[in-house]
Amino acid sequence: MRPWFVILIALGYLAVLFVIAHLIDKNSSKGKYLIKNKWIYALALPVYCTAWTFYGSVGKASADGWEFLTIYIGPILTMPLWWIVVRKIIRICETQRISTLPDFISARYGKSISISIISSLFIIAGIIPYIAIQLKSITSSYEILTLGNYQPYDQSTFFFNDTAFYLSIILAVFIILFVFRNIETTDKHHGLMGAIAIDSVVKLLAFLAVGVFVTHFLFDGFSDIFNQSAIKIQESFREVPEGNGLNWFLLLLLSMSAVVLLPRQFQVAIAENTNEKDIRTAGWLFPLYLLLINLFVVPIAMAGTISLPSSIDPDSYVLALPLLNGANGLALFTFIGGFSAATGMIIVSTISLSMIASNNIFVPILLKRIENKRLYAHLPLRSRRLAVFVILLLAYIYYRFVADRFSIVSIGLISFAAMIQFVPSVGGALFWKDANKKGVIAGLVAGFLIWGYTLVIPTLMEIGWVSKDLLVNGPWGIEWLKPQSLFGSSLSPVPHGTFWSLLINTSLFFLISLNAKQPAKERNVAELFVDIFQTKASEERLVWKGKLANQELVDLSEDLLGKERTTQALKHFEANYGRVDRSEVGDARFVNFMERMISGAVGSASSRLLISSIAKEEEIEIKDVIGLLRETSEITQLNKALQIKSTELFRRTHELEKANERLRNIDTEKDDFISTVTHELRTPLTSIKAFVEIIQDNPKLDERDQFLSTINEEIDRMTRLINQVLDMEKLESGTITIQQKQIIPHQIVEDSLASMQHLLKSKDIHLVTDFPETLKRKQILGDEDRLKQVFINLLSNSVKYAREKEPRIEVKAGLAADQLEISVIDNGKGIKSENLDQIFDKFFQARDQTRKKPKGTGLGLSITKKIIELHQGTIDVDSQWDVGSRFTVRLPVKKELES
Amino acid sequence: MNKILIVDDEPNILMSLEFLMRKEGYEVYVARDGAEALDIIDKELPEIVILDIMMPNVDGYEVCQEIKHSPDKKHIQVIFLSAKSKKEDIEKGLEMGANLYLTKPFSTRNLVKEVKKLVNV
Repeated sequence: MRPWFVILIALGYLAVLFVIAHLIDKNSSKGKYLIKNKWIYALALPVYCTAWTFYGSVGKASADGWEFLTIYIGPILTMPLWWIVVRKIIRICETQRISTLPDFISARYGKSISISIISSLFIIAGIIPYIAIQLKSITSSYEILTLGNYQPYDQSTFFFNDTAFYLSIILAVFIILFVFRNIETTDKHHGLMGAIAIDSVVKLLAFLAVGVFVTHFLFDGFSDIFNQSAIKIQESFREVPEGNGLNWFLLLLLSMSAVVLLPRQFQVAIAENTNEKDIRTAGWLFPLYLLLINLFVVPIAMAGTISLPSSIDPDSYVLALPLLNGANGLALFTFIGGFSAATGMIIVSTISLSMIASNNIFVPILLKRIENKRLYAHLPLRSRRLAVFVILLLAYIYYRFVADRFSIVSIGLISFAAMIQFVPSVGGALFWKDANKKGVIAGLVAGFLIWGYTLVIPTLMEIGWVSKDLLVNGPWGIEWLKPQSLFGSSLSPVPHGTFWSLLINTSLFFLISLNAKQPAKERNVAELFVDIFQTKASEERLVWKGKLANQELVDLSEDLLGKERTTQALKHFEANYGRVDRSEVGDARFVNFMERMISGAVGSASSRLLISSIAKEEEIEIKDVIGLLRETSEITQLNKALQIKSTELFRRTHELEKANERLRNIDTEKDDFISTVTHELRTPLTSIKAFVEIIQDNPKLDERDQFLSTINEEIDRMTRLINQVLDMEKLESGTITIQQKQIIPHQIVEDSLASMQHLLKSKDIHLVTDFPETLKRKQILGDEDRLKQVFINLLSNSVKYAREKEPRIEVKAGLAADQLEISVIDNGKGIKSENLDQIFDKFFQARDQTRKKPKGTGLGLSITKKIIELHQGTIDVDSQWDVGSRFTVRLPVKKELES
Repeated sequence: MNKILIVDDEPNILMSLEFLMRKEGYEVYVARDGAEALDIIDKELPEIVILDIMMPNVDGYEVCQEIKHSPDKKHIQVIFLSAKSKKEDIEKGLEMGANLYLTKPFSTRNLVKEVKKLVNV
């Protein structure tokens, strides 16, 4: 392919990304988002998959079999922990305005400038080779595409003829244009995240396209490739070689830590996170992405060894396979995929490293040196921009002189091994309050020295800078100090270096942390970090003692952040804590708040330095910290106690309200009852009075006897009513008790029927009784007279309501689950379904005051129900309009009474 | 002869009232509920209606309203005779246009006197 065409396509792709990033930024500043943030977040995380994944995995797979997978299995395994670990880091960074790993560590360990500088240098040293191999991959893929093959650089090539050089410059410009326009490092870069997400999609599609092309067009599916490949290759994929367990374990550890701690991962996963909940979407989408992008690695590796000449570097198989098989379009797409994988990594890493370089190295050193400690916004911003160029230049140089000789994966793994050195200090920051600055420095320095000795020095031997003698015989001929087999250990180089550096690092970190004294100030921050999910605002949880005029603090902030941002921050603070009087001396809260604001611009170490330079500070002592802690915990306890009290109070109030309501209900019920009773009494009284007067006024009356017997009837009616009211009252108040004698229900039913014999006959009622022999002897505990009252009541109701023509009453008994069921059934009009529920209510028929009941007191069924309930039984009614009603009484049969 | 209608769902009360009015020489009609009462009113147009309030189907209030709202019946004199004896019940009855409100138990002599007064108006 013609070089200009390839370059044009690559530049075109970058331009498209530029435009999209710009559009997203423009929209997000108006608060509009084209795609939900959680998708962007989840798709930005695969910035993890660089040229290493795109080209290097195939190379690694053809050399070492399945081992390449460790780099992806590790991150997948950690995903469930993200909600605990990564969310905590996000929360700390968000509240403390931290955006890089060195800042995170230095903020926790005493805002120490030395920690800030040491960790920054280590990270930069660890990552620049990694950026270099991305440059290499772009250049080599470009060469393959345009020349058909790739030759390592002739050292004498003038850099003006080198594509990688120009590429570095273009990327630097992109970063400065799109990212470092603003002093604050904690601002979110929506456009950048969008561009990275697009990169992720493009590289995945390109890789899948090559995979499908190779397996289904060049070959006939997975098994075809496998069958055609050499026995040796087949063997390497049959199983993982035995004894590789520790190797694999260490590689997994490397990738597990790298996926969070690598500068680009820290940037997208933590600094750019806008919502902690986005982790949930990423929790399944990111692992899915990793699975998909690894789907075709092994087939492509095998296909490459089968069909490509051995002169071709396995790292180039992905591109060479389509190209040498004449699929030029696909080859170009593959090139763009690899290009996007590499540029994505370069861009994000460079952003992160340049922030680290400026905020954690350059600015603190500068501040130490300048007398008046005045710092203006343009300085950190300029240093950051400059750092972009320096870092890309360093990467370019490394690429020209070193990286070219090594495979992508071997260099990348060395970077991973550098990042794992931060695991003890980050873990300590999150979960161990006793971890301290001295432990961190000792661990980090030792870890990095061993890392350099075991992993970096051997690569320098490879290019001839260091004598190979060291590798073979050890320094000064001491065998057990050989860089790649310390103490005679035999592991692959990277796991070997990882093992020893991490072991010494972690041990020193713990030992020295446990033995060194932790300053009070650091303790204070340690409490804040470990307990970050406490609700109290961090400015209230930090101790600060000293004198600092508010005005000076505001001036400092204005110099760095600008007037607008400072006013905004002040407003925010004042909204929470009230007005800040500029002429006053600041309190700890305001100082802590402003220190955090300034941290967002220049990092926590510089921010601390700036504040202490303008304030008269006092050393804080451990008792201050403990005092604050105690105060906080006392307040928390007090709050808890108060809350318990208030819920208790609330509950009591509620209960009281309910009791009141119940009383009111009882009151209205009583009122209703009394007014109903008096009304019910008035009716017979009216008749009686009328007839008495009539008889008085008409001594010689023909109807005299008839009227007198009417009077008698009405008096009986009144008596009945009064008796029932009293009965009901007694049953309800519990002043009478139900006798508990052994009684035979059948006998009671028979007695009741006998006492009504006369009434039944006079009304010509057809009576059917169905009492099975087996049940006739059943006994229960109860009150004979009361139960007789029940049945007489039910029977007389039936008599009253039974159909006028051919009246019929049925009495039926049955047994159901230890209960004796006795039903009284009539063939009357029935009860309307809407009234069934109320039928047992007192005076139900009379309840609706403008409707009058046919006959009776309206208390019969209520009394009946009450009596049954006092026998632990139930009564219910079943009725069909125009067919009749059925009242069923259920009484428990006592087992022990069975004869 | 003046026509009188007595409406009550209590048979014994109805019986006593019927006896009293007949003895006074009125032409007496009786009804057991409001619906029955309205039928008789339409047919016989009595001068006086003695009306209970709490009755099944159509109650006394409705009957009174029906009487007082139709032009050809509103001259009919209505006496409420009810066990509802609260002040507001009485006021409600009179607002509906009843000419008299008597509470149960009632004095037969007083009732006879009042009916006579109304007839003579």
